[in-house]
Amino acid sequence: MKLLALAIEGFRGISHANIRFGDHDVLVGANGAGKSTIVDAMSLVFGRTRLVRELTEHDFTGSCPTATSRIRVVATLAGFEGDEPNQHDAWFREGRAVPKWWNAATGIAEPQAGDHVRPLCAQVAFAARFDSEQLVVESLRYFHDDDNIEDPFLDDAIQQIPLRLFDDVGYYVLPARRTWEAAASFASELFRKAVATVGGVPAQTVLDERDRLRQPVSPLEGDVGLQPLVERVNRQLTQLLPNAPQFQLRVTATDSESLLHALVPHYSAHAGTSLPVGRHGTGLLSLQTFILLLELGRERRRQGKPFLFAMEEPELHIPPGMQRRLVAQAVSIAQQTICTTHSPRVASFYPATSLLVLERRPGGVACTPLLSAPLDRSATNALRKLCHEDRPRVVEGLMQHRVLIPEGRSEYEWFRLLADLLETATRVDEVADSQTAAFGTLIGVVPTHDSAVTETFATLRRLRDGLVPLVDGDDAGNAKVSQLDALTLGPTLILQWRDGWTIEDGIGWILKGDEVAAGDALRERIDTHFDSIDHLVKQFKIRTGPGRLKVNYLAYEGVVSVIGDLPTCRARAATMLEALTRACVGQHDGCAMLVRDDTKDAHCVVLRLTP
Amino acid sequence: MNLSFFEGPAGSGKTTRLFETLATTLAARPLLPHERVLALTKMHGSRRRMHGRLSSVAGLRDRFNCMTVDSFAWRLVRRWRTLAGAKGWSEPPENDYAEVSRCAGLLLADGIVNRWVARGFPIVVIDEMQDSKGGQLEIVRGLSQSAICLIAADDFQDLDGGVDNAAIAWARESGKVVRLSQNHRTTAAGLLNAAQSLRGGQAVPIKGQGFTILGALNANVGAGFVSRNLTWWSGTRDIAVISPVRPDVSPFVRDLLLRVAQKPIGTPPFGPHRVPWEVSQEDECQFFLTGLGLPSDDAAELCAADLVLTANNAASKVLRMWLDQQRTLSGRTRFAAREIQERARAIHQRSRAYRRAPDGGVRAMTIHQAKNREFESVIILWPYQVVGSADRKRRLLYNAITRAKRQAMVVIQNPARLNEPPFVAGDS
Repeated sequence: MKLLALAIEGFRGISHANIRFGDHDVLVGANGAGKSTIVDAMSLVFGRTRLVRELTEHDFTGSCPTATSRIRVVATLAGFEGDEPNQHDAWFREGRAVPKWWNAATGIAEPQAGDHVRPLCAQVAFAARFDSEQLVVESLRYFHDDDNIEDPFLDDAIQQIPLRLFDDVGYYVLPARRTWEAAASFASELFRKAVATVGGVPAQTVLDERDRLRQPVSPLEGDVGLQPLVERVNRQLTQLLPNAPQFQLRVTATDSESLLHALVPHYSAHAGTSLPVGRHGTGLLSLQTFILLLELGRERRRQGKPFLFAMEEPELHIPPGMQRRLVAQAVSIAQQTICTTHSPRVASFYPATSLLVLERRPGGVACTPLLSAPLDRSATNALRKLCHEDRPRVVEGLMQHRVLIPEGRSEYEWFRLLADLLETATRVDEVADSQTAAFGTLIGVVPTHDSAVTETFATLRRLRDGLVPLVDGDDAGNAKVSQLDALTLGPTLILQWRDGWTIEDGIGWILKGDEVAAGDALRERIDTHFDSIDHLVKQFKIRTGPGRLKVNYLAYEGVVSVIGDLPTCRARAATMLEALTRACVGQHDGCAMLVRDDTKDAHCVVLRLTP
Repeated sequence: MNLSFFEGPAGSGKTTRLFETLATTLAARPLLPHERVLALTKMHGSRRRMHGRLSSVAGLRDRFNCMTVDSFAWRLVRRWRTLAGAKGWSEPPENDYAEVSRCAGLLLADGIVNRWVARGFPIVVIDEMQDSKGGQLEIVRGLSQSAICLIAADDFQDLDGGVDNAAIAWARESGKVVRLSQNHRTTAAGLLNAAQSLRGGQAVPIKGQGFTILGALNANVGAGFVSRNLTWWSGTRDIAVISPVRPDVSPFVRDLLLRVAQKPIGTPPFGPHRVPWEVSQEDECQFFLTGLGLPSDDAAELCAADLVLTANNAASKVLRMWLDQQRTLSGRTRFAAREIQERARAIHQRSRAYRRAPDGGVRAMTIHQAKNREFESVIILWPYQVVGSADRKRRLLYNAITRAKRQAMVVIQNPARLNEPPFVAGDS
């Protein structure tokens, strides 16, 4: 079974979304873009309601559902062997789904098969409405027959879905909230399911243990200290009741159900002390949940059953080194995985075609793969780097509120180092009164190669808005402004260094905040000869040849650590990053360092970064 | 194609054979856990009777769906509307039953669709196939592509029909035909003779064992005959007074029934007899609509709260539920009178039958209402208002007479009409 697509309407922050899945996908996006809403939407339609909170008004987009407000999730499932409805009685017959065929080009399930319209698919849906008279949310799971359905609650021909059919889908979710109750005890649905799938409940052992608990060797009521109390209770009972029963104390309710309920996994450390999993910290708990699900999936596959695995933030509480390893296992076990993550490491495990970027747009939430098809031979080096080598950095950048796209890799390094410096080295007395949030929390920087700002911008613009190119203050920079401005979906804002400047001049300007001290300190830190800061700046611009410092990242670190030691330099660095931040978030008015350039005949706003 | 067709005159045991064959078919090809038998009928009245008979088939309890062709068609069209749209067939309005059937018939011609139905319903049972016209015939044809079909019909019982019944012609050439001729319903020679004469287009003997034809000069005289026979036959307590038309169409029928109920007649006095008119689906719907207190102007808007929905019958409940749904699901509380009328009709046409006609006793009804049923004794009123060709009149009278198991009497308005068809041979 394979989930081809998920259409969501009116569910929490997603007024509308249409997501198409491959075999293994990862969903990334800014906070609130709707990653967990998508996983919850899948849980709604595939019926593991236990893992989703009960629905309330807040689950309806806008939180104020009217009589006609609906949550609707439509899932398109394929993977029916042979693509022949006659061979899948359980899914395609009167009383079940109407067969449809998937048109991959349009993303529409069509009523008739065709040359390019395959595979066979079934559409299942979940709908909910809020009853403002009864104050309850009513929900319905049904076979989705037609996209133009008016209202499943009013349609008397609607066919509801029997729950057991969902075993065919085999949907399991690793929830973001890996609580103790949800995962640790035998009472948890997951634990039981895992045991039942793998080997069945160890019945005889449980029954033996139950019998032992019924007849304890030294019963508590026989304890010397308790004896007087127990005797008094028994005497009272005898006076009140004929054939009075005798008071006893037993661990558990002495049936197998309560025994299973009472079971708690323990883990013993090397010292031999055995501790319940809840005492081990969230790491082990997270790991236990993950491993249980993986084992469950492995067993299902062994039995020829499908396993569709949704992982919410698999990186949670798990050491970085283990994250990708577990995700890799999940991918190898499940026919299909759908993963949400905040971790660039986890995200970049997936190829660019499987990396789906979520973006909130006026019409709903869009979900676009970083690449719509694998790169072919004609792809430029810049695009290759962007989608392969730099994928973790690109993902990290894309998760931010705004994304800066400079001309090269150097800017990426400079900004990263400066942002790190200001995050860690700023002293309490220096925390500015600024209304602007810190650069590092709002702005992501995407490394570019071969100065391919325009290509990088165009590639990423498919995925999301809020991209700001930053180009040099030279003729090449001017040419890029024209190129960018000519794009169909071009930027609304371009940043450009002041005439003749590049990032290195900006660094020079920061160092000149305390030119003498900076020069002295740098001479000790950097293994190169320079006469002045200006001279040093020149060297940082040289990529090859004698005295070159460009892409000498060790030298970058030296410079930034010197800036960190000198308060005036630090202040200049802060001012520059603040100007960048203000430009990106549209608060450039009143910022002295940002000068609007009206000389260019561009559709978009061009701001010159003028320290 | 796996189709068995049972053809024969009224009372020849078609339906019995149909269900016997269903039982043997099930024995040879047991239903899989998810499968059911589909039984289609035209009207709700016959749906109820069919339901009763299906319940008595061994091993079939709860393993069948018995519904009217209209509701089957509507569901099918709703569920397959994407395909219908792709083929360029517009979705018919809910209340246009002929169009709904036509669209369902078109859909079922597609192998994907008929196999889809047959995977849930591998066996389909259809009684009174002679009444399947147009889209309804196409529905059965489509179903027969993939499902085992058990069909019963008698072309002479097609009341609207002429000589060529397309459904019967199709069934004859498409399946294994079993012709039945022995009448099992009655052994009364007079009844058998009369039925045979009508089928053959010959003169009907006026008197025979269990059968008489009487001419009445007026309603009072007719009432005398009826009252006397009701008294004589009171031992059976299962008597139908059957008329080709409703009392509001024929003063003869109306006055006669009133007179029978009013006071005793003749010496020795017979009656009075209570002969309630059995409520038909249309009557029930009309009665229901009248009770709602709708404005006379169809387009007038009204508030749901203004409707008189106090009756505790099923239709009121369903309509109340629909109004509640409209309020809570769509936020609607105002409706055009026409919309309420249409909804009420749909409720009566498509939803389950509501008032169960009681078995036994004395009741009056039209020939259409009496179709496919049987009674101990039958009194047929033959007023002036019977229209149509001689053939149609024979079919009507045949249908009425063959409802009787033991005895029947025909009361003709004006004795002179005894010399006209259907009582004599030839065309009118």
